[in-house]
Amino acid sequence: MKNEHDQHQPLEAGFSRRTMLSSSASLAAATLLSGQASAAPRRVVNRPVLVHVFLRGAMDGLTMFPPYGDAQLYNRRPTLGIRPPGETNGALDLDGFFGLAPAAAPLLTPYNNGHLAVVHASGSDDATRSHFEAFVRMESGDSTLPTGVITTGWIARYLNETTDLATSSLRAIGAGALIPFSLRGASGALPIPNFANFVFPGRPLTAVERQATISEAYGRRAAPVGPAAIDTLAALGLGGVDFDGYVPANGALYPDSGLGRRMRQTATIIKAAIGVEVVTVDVDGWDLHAAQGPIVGNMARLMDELTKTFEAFYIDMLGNLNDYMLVCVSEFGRHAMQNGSAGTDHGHGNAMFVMGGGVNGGQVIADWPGLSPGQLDQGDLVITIDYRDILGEILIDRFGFTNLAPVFPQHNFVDYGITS
Amino acid sequence: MRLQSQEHSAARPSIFPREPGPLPPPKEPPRGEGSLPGGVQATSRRRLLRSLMGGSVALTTPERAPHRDPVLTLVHRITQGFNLTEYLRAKTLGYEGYLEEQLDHLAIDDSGMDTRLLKFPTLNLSPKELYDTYIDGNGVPYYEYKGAALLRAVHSKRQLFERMVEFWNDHFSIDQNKGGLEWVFLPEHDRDVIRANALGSFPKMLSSCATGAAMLYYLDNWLNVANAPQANYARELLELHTLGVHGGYNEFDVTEVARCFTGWTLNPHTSSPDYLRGHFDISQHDGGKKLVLGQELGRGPRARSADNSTPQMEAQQVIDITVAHPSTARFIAHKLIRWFLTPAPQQEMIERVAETFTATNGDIKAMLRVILAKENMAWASTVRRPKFRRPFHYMVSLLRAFDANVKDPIGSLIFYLPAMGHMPFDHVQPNGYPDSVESWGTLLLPRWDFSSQLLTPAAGLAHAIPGVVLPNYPALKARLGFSGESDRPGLATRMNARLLGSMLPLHEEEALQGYIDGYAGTFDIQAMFDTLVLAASLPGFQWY
Repeated sequence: MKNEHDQHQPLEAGFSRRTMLSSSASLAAATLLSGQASAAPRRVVNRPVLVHVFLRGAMDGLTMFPPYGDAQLYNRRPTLGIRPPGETNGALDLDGFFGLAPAAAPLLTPYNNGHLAVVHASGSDDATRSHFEAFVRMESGDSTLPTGVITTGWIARYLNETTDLATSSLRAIGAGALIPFSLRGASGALPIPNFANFVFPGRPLTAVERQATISEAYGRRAAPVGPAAIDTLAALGLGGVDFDGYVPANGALYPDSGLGRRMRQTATIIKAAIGVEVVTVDVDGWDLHAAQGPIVGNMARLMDELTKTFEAFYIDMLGNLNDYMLVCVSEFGRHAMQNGSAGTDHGHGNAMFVMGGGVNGGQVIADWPGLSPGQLDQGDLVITIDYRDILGEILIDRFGFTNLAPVFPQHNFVDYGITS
Repeated sequence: MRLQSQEHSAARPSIFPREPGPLPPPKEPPRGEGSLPGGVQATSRRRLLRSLMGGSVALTTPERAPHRDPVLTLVHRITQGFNLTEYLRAKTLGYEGYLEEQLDHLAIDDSGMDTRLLKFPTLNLSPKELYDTYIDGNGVPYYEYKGAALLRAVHSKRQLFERMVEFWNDHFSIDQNKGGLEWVFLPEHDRDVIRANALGSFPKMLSSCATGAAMLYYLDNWLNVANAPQANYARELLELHTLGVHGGYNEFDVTEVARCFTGWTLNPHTSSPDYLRGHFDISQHDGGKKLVLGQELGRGPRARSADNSTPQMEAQQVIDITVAHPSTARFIAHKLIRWFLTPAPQQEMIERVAETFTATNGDIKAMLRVILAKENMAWASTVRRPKFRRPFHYMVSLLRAFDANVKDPIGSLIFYLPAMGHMPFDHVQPNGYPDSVESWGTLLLPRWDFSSQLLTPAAGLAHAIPGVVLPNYPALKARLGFSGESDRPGLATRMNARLLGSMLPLHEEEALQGYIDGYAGTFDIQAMFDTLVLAASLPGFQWY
C-alpha cells in the first residue's frame, strides 16, 4: 500500500513498466488463491464501494491501449492502428510497450498518480463472439453452466454472500433503467436511472396509506418484483442526499452528459455513505464495425467522454480514494484485423482497467500473446489473463472477501498484483 | 393492514357452470411468475360468489371467474391493453370470432386511426423526401416516428397487428439514434418491411429487411465491401434474426455471409427517387464462391454456364438458406410463444409451431393460430402464467384502461418512457428491448410515478398530462357505479373489473377496498384519483 502522501504524486517513470508474471509465479499464486479458501467473509471497516462500469458493445482495447511495441499491430491495423508515441496522432506512452489513445488522455492523471492499472489481453472465456452471450458469461462470472440456464450475476452472489455485513437495505444501484445481469438475483439491488428523482409520487396526504397498501400487496409477490418494491419503498429519498446541490471537490468538472451525471451522482452517494456498496454503470455504443474513428471519429468521441468523466470522478474523489474501487470492463475485444469499413468486427481478448486507492497503478499488467497471425485465436487477441483473476484479487485485498467459490465457481485464481 | 385468509375457499361447493371442460394439465408445473405459490387459486371462486351475491355488478364484466374466461386472457394478450368496451365486443364475437377478426387486420376499419395519423405527414415520405426536407433539423420526423408507434398502440382497432408490429420491431431492432441518419430510413422500413409483413410472411419480411436501407445502415452493411468483408449484419442475421446464437453456425459462416452481402449499400444518386434506398453495387461485391451453412453460393472463377444466379441474388439465397434451417423455425416459434403465452414454453409446443413455420414457409398467421388456440389461453391464462408488462405496455394499458384520448403523444406523454427505460426505437443493441420480468421487474417507481401523473385531476378535469384527455369525472363515476359515499362498498371490485381487466388478485382487491374504506375524508374526486393511482400501482396490474 502506498503512503497517503504519495497518492497525489506522479510516480517515477521507472515504476511504470508492464509486469509479466512467469508461469511458475502464476502457479504459486494459483495455489494460494484457488477457491479452496472457504473462510467466512471477514468484516472490513470502510470497504470501498464497487463502481462497476461496463462498456457495452465490445470496446476496442487495441485502440484505447495500443500495444505499439508490437510491430504486428500495424499489419493488422494499417490505417486504424494508433501510431507509436512521437508520431502524428501517436499514442501517449504508458510503459514503453503499451500506449494510450490520444482521446483517452485524461486517464493519464490517475495512471501517473499510481491509481489506475490496465490489464491487457484479458477477458472471459466465452467463445461465441456474441455480445449477448458474452454479457451473460462475463457478468455471471460462471463458466460452468450454459448461458441459457444461468440466473444470477457475480456481484449479486458476492452481495448475497456478505449479507451479514450489510448496513442498508439498498446495497446496490444499477445507474440506469435496465438492471445489468451482474446484479441479477441480488437482494437490495435496484435500477435507478436518476438518483435525484427517487421520490414517492402523488398527493402527500395519502402517501402513507398508499405506501402501506403497496407494501402489503407487493410483499406477497415473488422475486424480483416483490422484494424490489419493498426495497424501493425503504429507499425512497435515498437518505435525503442532495444530488442536485452537490458540488464536486477539487474543482472537478464532469462532462454534461448522461454518463457525466451518473458518475457525479455515484460520487455523491459514495461520499454520503448511506450504505450503498455497489454502483453499476453501463456505457453503450462501442460496437464500431464501421467508421471506428480512433483519432477524431466515433470511438475517439466515446473515449473522450468516458475518460473525461473518469478523470473528473478521480479528481472529485481524491480525498476518498479508499472509498471506491472502479472496475471498467467490456464483453470482449475486437478482431485484430481491421475490416474494409474502417472498423473492426467482433474479437476476443481485450483490455480492462481498475482505478482507486490500493490499486497497484501506473502499470499495464499483461502477458502479451502477440498479434502475428499465428499468435491469434481465430484472428483475435488471445486471452492470457482471465478477468476473474483481477476481480478475485480485488475482492480479497480490497473487500476482505475470500469466499470466492460461490462468486466465480470452479475458477483457479492467479494473483497478478493488481492491488497492493 | 389486514391479512387475507383464503383457507375456506377450497371447501366451497363448485358453482361453476360446466362451461370450459377440464383444463389440459400442463406438463410443467404452473408457473405464476408473479405470484407466490398458492396465492391465486381461490381468487376467482370467491369473486364470482361475491359478484353474484352483491348483484350490483353486471355479469358481462370479467370479474366473473377470470381464469375461466379465455376471451379475457385473449384480450389481454393480443391487444395493447384491456379496455372494457373492447372486451365486451370480443365477448360478443366469441373467442374464435374475435381472434379471426384481429388476424384479418386489413378488413378492420381503422379510418379513425388514419385520421389521427394525418398530423404526422412524415410517416409517408420516402428517404429522399425526408432527407431533402429535414436534413437541417430532423426533430419532426424523429418524434413523429416515435409518437406514431405510441398513438397506434393506444388507438388502432388492429390491436393484434400492432402487437405484432411491436414484436417485429424488437426482433429487427434498429436504434433510431445510430449514425445520425436512421430517421431518414425508418418510416419506409416501418411501412414496407414491418407493417407490410407483420401478419404475413416471415421470409418476405426478413428479405426486405436485409436489403432495406434502415437495416443496411444500422448494422453497417452499406459499408461492407469486397476483399475486406465486415460482419456486423451477417452475424446478427444469423444470431438474432434467424438461427439463434446456438443454432448451428460458426465464425466461418459469419464471414461467408458477410461476403455474400458485400456491395449491398445505399443508393448514392441524389437525383434518383430511390436516393438512399437499398441498392446493389456490383463493383463492391465479392464475386468469389462462398460456403454458407454448408451450401455453395456464388459463381467463383470456374462458374458453369448453367448457373443462372447473379451476384445480386446471393443475398436472397442466404435468406433462403437461413429460413430453411430448422433452427430458424424453432427460434421464431420460441420467441412468438414467449411473446403471447409464457416465458418458458414447453418444447413440445415449440416443435408444433416450428412445424407450422416449416410447413407454411414462415406464415405468421398460421403460427399465431396454433399459438393462440383457445386451449392455450387456459394454461397460459393471466392467472396461471401472467406475463410482466414492459413499460411501454404499462403506459399503453393504462391509457386504454381509462379510455384516454391521446391527442398529442409527443408533446409530453412519450417522455415518461425514457425514465422507465423503454423509449421506442432507442435500444442501442440489435437484440431489441427484452421481454422478461427479470429485466423490467425491479424498476417500479417510474411506473408509480406515471400512473400518478396521468391520473392527477387538474383543474377539475382529469388530464394532467398535456395532450392526453381522460373521460370526464361523471363518465368515470358512471363507469365505476359511484354516485356518493354509499357506493364505497365494492368500489375496488368495480375498478378492478371495469378498468383493470381483473388483473388484481383477490387479496389486492381487498387491500384496495381496505384503503377505500379507511379513507377518512369525503370520498371526492381527489380521493377517487388517489385510489386509481394506487390501483394502477399495485402488482396485479404490472402483469397481463
